[in-house]
Amino acid sequence: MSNRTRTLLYLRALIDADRTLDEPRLEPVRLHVRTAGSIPPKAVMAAAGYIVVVWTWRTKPEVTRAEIEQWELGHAAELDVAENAAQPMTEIGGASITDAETGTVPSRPMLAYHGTVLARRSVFAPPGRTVQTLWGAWGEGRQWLEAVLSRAPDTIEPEWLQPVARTIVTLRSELMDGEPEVTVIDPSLPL
Amino acid sequence: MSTPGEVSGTPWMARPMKLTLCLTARCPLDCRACYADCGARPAADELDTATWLRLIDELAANGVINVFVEGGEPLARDDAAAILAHAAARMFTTLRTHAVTIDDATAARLADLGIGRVYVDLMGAEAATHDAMVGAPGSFAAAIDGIAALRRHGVPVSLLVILCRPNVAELRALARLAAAVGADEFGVLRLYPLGRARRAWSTLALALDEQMAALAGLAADLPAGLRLMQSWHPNDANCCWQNAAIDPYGHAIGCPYLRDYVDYGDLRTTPWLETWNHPLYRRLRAGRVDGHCPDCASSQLTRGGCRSTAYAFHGRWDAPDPFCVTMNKGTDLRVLPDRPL
Amino acid sequence: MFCPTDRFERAPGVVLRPMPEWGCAYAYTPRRPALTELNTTTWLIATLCDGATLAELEEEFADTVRRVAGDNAARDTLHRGLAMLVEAGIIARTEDAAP
Repeated sequence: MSNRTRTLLYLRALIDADRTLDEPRLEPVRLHVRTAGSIPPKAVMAAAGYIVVVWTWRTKPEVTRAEIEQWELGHAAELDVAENAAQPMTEIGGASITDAETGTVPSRPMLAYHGTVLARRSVFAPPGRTVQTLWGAWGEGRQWLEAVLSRAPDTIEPEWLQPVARTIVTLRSELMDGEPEVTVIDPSLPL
Repeated sequence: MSTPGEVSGTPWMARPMKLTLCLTARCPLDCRACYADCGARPAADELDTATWLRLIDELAANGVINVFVEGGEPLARDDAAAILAHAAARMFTTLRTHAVTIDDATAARLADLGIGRVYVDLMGAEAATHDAMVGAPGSFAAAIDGIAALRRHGVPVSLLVILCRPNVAELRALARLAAAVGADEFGVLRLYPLGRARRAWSTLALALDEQMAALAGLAADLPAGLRLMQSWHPNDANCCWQNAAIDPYGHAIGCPYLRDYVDYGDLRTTPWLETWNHPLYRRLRAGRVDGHCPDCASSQLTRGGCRSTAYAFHGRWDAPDPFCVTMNKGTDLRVLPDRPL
Repeated sequence: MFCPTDRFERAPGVVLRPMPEWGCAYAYTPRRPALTELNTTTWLIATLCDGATLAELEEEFADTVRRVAGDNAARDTLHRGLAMLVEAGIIARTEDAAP
């Protein structure tokens, strides 16, 4: 049997076992950090009281990257509503912010999902397993973020946050093995 | 959906895909924090060109698709270009260098050879610090020129530093320097108990809390667009499961950081894949470590952190790595036990 | 867009390293030095590209995945994956000169 035939038999068996044909995907082995560029510059973060919450969590053994990405799409869609539209950022005191690098006023949603990445981008780290999920928030978004990450969905106001919170419940119940390790990066605190 | 590859929590690899090739122990510098012991053995003991080329063919035939070439200073060998070209035609090839001999012509040649990335070691953000650490005045300026040449020719550059007492205060400045010279990655390496670093340990080593404070300060002030690579909690890799390495004399050593501690076989006489099945190699790959850190284990899929460091401090292959905040258990990293190698 | 008579094969010098333990493969593209991870689907497409025409690829790909995807879905997936592999320099396309 040729290598080609053996490989095709293996792939056919793998695809059959998975019962799905994955979307074709190519990834640079040195994975990109999906958050690159989506988190405001540090000076802007500090002025706006922008916090970044990081959940480091272990996936259930059977969970694949594709399933995490599918969850991501749903979660991001729930955040993509008019109530959470990007708006010019303001300092904690309410004054507007000018980004020193660009000279412009940055505009961001108050509650942002920055992505889920492999916790370890080792060259040959196997796919999946331990990942980190990052959110950012400023202004009222800080309270929104705290609510969706910690409270039962139907107890949360405003109402548009409830479907967001439900996706968090899905994350915890269907994808996550155990509890997440929570890290809060608050640039307004002395480091 | 099932994901093949994990057996009882331990990743499975039938044969390695990446390898570190410690090409030479020759080096024009005399770095205090060097993991090797450059110049300690005659250069004539090192593998000759033909043997390296044969070994690279053997590695390629057996599935190695990524090679990291380091030294000593790999470019100190006259045949470096021939060996790098042979490798780059067969596998993704990256190079670690001090960059002091890289001029425009060398950078152009490395780009033409298809070197995928160059990792440049700097020992400080200031010329005085760096030059004192490497024992060669002018090295800092030469390295910066070398990096600039590499970038002019489009070669991606990562800047590396071995974190130790003489440069800890310059860590953030080094990150800024990395961004300024066009590196897209800044790798902070810990001090490994090997080579000259081992002998200078008491003057170089930092306590774990000093290291963690330096890393926290760095993370809070990392220039935009610069990727940080570091090997402390929760990235304390016990990467023996996927690592392979060959020393300048043709011996399989599993990992460059194990070069003082193991010998899995002489590749001049032993097939490379046979060394992959050496009993000690298999044992280290199994990742059985007492009192391992659950965080690091979950992110690395293996347990217990670096085997080289664990062995150096505790004298046991199944001991935990004391560079992890969870596994340290009061070990003073400034004091390296005096164990016979 | 590809033509049914276009032929596809591994680009010169490209090394494909299957990693069945993890259900993926890696490709090294020496002409633009990079290492790329292929998921099951792109690995399958790359394996099929041994000089076959697009029409042949469509047939063999659909046959391999027939238990999980119908002909139309298979063809669409193949075309998307093929475009990615060509763009990445892993697979080369040659226009068939034969009548």
